[in-house]
Amino acid sequence: MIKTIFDIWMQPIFARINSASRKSLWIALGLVLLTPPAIFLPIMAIKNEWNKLPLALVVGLAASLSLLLLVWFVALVPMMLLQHSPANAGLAPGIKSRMLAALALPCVLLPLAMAFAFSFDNDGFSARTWFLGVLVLLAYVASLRSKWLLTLLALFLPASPIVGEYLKWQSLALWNSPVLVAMLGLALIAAVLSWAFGLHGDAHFEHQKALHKLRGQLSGDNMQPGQKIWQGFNLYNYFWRRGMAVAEKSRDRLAGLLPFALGPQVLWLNSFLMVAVMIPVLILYFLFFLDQKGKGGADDQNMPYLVTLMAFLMLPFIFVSTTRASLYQTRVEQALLCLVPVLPDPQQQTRTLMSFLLRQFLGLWLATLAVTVAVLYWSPFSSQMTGNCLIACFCLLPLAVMILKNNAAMKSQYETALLTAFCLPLVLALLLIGLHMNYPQFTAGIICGGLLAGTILVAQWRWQRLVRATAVFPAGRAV
Amino acid sequence: MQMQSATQVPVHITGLNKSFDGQSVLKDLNWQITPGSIVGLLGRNGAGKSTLIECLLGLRDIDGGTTVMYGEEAGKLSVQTREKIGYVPQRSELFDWLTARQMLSYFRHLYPRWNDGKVHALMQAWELPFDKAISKLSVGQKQRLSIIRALAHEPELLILDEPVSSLDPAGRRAFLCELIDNVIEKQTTIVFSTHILSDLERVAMDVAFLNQGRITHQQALDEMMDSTVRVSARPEVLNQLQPVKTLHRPVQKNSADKHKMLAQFSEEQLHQLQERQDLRLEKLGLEDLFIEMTE
Repeated sequence: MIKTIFDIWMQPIFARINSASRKSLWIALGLVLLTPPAIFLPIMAIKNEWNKLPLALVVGLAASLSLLLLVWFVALVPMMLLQHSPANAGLAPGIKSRMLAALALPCVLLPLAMAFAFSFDNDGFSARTWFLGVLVLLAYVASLRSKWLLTLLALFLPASPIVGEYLKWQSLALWNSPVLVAMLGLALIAAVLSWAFGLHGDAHFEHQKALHKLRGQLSGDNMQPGQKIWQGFNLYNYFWRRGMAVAEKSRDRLAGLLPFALGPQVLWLNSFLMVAVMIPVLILYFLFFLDQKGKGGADDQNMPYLVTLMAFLMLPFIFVSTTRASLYQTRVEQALLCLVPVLPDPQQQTRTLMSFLLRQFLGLWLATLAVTVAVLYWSPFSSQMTGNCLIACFCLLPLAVMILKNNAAMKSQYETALLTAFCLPLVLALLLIGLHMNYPQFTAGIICGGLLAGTILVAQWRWQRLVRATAVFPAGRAV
Repeated sequence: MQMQSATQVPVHITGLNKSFDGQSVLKDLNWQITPGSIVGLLGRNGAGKSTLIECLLGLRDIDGGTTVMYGEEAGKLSVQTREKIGYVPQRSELFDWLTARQMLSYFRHLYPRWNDGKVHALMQAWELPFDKAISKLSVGQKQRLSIIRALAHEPELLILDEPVSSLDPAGRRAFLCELIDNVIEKQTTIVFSTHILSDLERVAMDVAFLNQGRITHQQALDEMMDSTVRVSARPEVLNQLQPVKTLHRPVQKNSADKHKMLAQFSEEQLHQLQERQDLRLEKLGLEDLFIEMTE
C-alpha cells in the first residue's frame, strides 16, 4: 500500500523527467531554495534587522516549499483522475483505495505545513488557516469532477459574506474549537474525494472523455475551442479566408499562409476577446454584490479592478504556454509546408513564422498593457499599488524571449513551458516589486524601462541566433 | 452444487439492453462463455463490440438484464474476481507520462500474482524499451505494452478489444504465439474482438457473431466451417430443406430468381444435398461467412 502511494506521488516528478529533463526540476528546487534569501537578505539589510533573518529564512523556505508542493499537487490530481479510468476503476484491485489515500494525505498535510508557516507571522497555529487550505485543495479536486463547480465557487465567494451574515456561521462555537474544525476538515476531505472518485458507468466514460479533452486542450491537442459558445470569438476562420483571398491575388504573398498551419491558439485576439467578453459580466456581478453588501470598504471597491487586472495579466502566461504546445502539435502540418515547392526556403520560413509569433505575443502584451493602464487610471489604487501593477505588467514582457526558442529542439508535447512561463515573470515581479517598495529611488518608470531594454537586447540576440539556425520548423526535427 | 458451477462460469449475460441517446445498441442480448474457451467476437464496425465488452465487465451502466462474472454481478466484483481478469481496451489506457518500467511497477503492486519473469521475457521478446516515456512509443509498441500489462498477472479470463489492430504481421504472430504457448496451456478463457479473420482462424475455438444488438450465433469455429454452406435454389426448393439451423436468408423481391440461404446441415444431409441437381452448394471461407452473418 505504502509503495503504491509513493509510486503515485512520484508520478508528477517522473512525468517531468520523462517528458523533458531533470533540468527543470533542479531549476524549481533552486528557486525554492534561493528565493527566500533573495527576498529577505535585501530587506534585512535595509532595515538592519539581522537577528530576524534566520526566522525569516525558515518561514520563507517553508512558504516556497509549500508553493512547490502546491504545484506538485496541481499536477498530481488530474493524473490520478486520468488513471482512474473506467477499466482501472472497475478491474484493477485496490486502485481506488490507494488513490484516495494518496490524495487524502496531501490534502491534510499541505495545508498543515502552510498553517505552520503562517503561524510564525501571526498568533500561533490556527486550525482555521488549515481548514481554509483544505477547502482550497478540495475545491480544486472537485472542480476536476465538475467543471461548473469552480464557476459556482467563484460566483459564490463574493456573495459569501452576505450568506455568512445571514446564517451567522462565523459566530458558531465550531470555529473556536480546533478539534471540531479538524474533524470537519477531515470529514470534508473524505466526502469530496469519495465524490470525485465516485463515478461509475456511462457517467465515468463521459467524464474521462471530458478529462482527455481538457488535457488535449491544455497540451494543444485540440485546436478548436471546446465550447461552442466561444466559437463566435474565434477569428481564425476570418483571417484564414482573408489570407486565402490575398494569396489568390498574388503568389508573392503565399508565405502569408504559413502561420495558419500553427492553429487558432496562436492568434492573440482569440484569447483576448474571450477574456474581454467575460470581464464586463464579472464586473457587473461584483458591483451587484458590493452594492448588496452596502458597506463599500476600500478592499471591496478595489475588487472589480483587481479581478480585471488579474484576468488580463494571466493572458500572456497562458498564451506562451499554449503556443509552445500548439507548435509541437502542428509539427506534421509544418513538415508538409516545408515540402511545398512554392513556399520560401526553410530559413525564410523560420523568419516568417517566428516574426508572426513574436507579433502575436507583442500584440497581446500591448493590449494587456493598454487595459492595465486604463484600469489603473480609473481605479482608486494608491500610487504605490499603481506602480506595482505596472511593474507586474512589464514583468510579462520577457516572456517574448520564450517565443523565440529553437523549436527544432522541442522534445515532446508536454514541454509546454508552463513552469518557466509561470516562474519567470513571478520571480521577476517579486524581486522588482520588492526593490521598488524598499528603494523608492527605483521608480516604476525606471524598472519598466529597464525591463523593456533588457527584453529588447535578449530578444535581438535570440532572433539573430534563430535566423542563423538551419531550420527551426518542423518542431522537434532535431530531437 | 449449482452455486459452485455458477462461480466457475467466466461470463453469463442475460437479457442485456444498452442504448445511447435513445439509440439501441444491445437488445436483449444473451451470451455465455464457458471456462477455458477462446471466443472470437465478430461484428461490423459500430455493431457494439466494445460496448458489449465494457458492459460485460461492468464498466458501463446497462439499461436492463444481468451480466455476471464468476457468479458475481459485474460492476460489483470482489477483489478476488478482479484479480482473475485481464483486459486490453481498444484505446490504450497506459499512463503515457510514465516509462514502461514505472507503469509496470505501479501495476505490480496492485496484483499479487504479478509475474515479473514473464514481463521481462515479453518486453525483451517484443523489443520494448523499459525506460522510454510511453508517450514516445509508437502505436504498435503501446498496444504491445498494453497486452503485456494484461498478461502479467496471469489472468484466468483475458478480454481483448481489437488487440492486434495496430500490430504489424510479425507483432500479431508473436502475440498469437504468446496466447497459444502460455495462455492456452493454462486453460485461460479468452474473449477477443477482431477484424483480422486470419488471426481468428489461427487461435479461436469459438466464434460469436454480434449483429443488430444480439449474439446471433455462437459455435465452435471448426464445426461451423464444416457444417455451414450457402444454398442457392428456387424458393420452393429452399422451403423444403430442413437444415439443422438457418443462419441467414435474405429476402429477395423477385421470386423468379434463385434464392440463397446460409444454413447448417449435418454431415449426412450435406452428402444428400451434394447429389441434388436442383440446388447449388457453396462452402464459404470465414470472411464470406462474416459478411453473410453480419449483413
